[in-house]
Amino acid sequence: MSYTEICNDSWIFIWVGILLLAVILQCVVFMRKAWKHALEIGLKPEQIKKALTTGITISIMPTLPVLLVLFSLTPLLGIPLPWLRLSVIGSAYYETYAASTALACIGETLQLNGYSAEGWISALWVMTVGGSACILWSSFAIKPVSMIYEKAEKINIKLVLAVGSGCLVGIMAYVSVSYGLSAISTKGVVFGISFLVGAIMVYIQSKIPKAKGLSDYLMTISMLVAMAAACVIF
Amino acid sequence: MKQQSNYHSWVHKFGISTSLLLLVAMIGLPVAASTIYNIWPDFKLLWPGFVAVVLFMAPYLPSETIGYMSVMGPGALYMSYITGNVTNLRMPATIGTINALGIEPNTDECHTLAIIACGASVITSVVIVALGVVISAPLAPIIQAEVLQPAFDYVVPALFGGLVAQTVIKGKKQFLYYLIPLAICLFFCYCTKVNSAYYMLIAIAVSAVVSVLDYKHGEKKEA
Repeated sequence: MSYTEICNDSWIFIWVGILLLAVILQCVVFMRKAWKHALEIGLKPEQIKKALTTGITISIMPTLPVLLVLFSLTPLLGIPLPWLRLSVIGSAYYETYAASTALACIGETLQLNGYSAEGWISALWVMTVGGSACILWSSFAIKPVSMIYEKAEKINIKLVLAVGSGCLVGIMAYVSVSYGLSAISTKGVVFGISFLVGAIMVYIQSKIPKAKGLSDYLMTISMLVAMAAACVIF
Repeated sequence: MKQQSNYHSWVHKFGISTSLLLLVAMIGLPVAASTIYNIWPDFKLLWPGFVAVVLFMAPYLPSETIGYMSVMGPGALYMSYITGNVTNLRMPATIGTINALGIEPNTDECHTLAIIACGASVITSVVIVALGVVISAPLAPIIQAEVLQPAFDYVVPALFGGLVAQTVIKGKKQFLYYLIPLAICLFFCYCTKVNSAYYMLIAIAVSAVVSVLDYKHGEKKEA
């Protein structure tokens, strides 16, 4: 039996749909509670709304490449499995690797109409169970790490804030290299253009008080300019 | 104070319980498929596949949890680990938000708004991918157009350039402090074969030490 006979069965769509609704429900409950808490600790409703809109606008463009992977994996694995994996836990880089590894273990190859139903089931097992390790990790590791920060806050809050600022700068240095400067002639160019546009906007903001609102659009504008430049350069 | 502590304990309880429930639903899918089709894989052959997949992401799990905790907080991290794409989607959405609002990292305000920004980011991604499934036929030619390929190939560096500029250009001193971990990352990237997950932790640790030393120096000056 070929994988194409089972990979698009309707019950799998229903299972995936329910799972994704549960993910959205978790987010909505988290956000409602956080919204209430934000008001309690003195944040203004405008600030909270801005957090919401910034979260949405920043996420739209980087999600589009995920669609590209979805379209490329659909003929190979059916619709529901890539849909699930690219919505929950999965990343564009990781899913093809997981599916190919699973098929290689049973002596098959990930190719269009070229492997068995058993191969598809094996890929399903490895992609979902193997990929779920990070959920297990988060369930057991986030609380202890967070407790360490909370204990430190009770001793010296200013010191903890200094650590937080330092961590943020360290993260920025890491992403600068990992997603930009590690390949200077390709992604480094795009990173550099986006950085330059962002830096110019930060400068304008600091010099012209009326341009303070630019910070809301800084990431979106610098990202779109750099993406357009990529189309011209490469 | 008690209200605040109740909120924090709720974040952990809700985060852990919903994560485990979603884990069960996720693992339930291959179990259901194997039962329905009566096809059970040979686990003796398949176990290296599980190990390879877990090892692929293993270095990033502790480094992301420790490194991003100060900026994202526990609530946003629970959500992020369910949907993945922590570094290229959830973290920039959170940092972009705290930058735009001028909120200090590692504060209750920061972690609370991180939940809202990160939740919005997760819902946006899930909805876009679902829309992609529904309207894949008319959408595919546009997304796959050759002329647009470089834009999508380089969307992540394009996202991070602006984010880094907005975060580190706050003054000469802050920019200098950014150059220290940057030099460390460049050294590990070009001169060693160390996995990026490990040098990320080193860069974050060094940067935190520099920031603490600066704070201590400021304290001494005030005294």
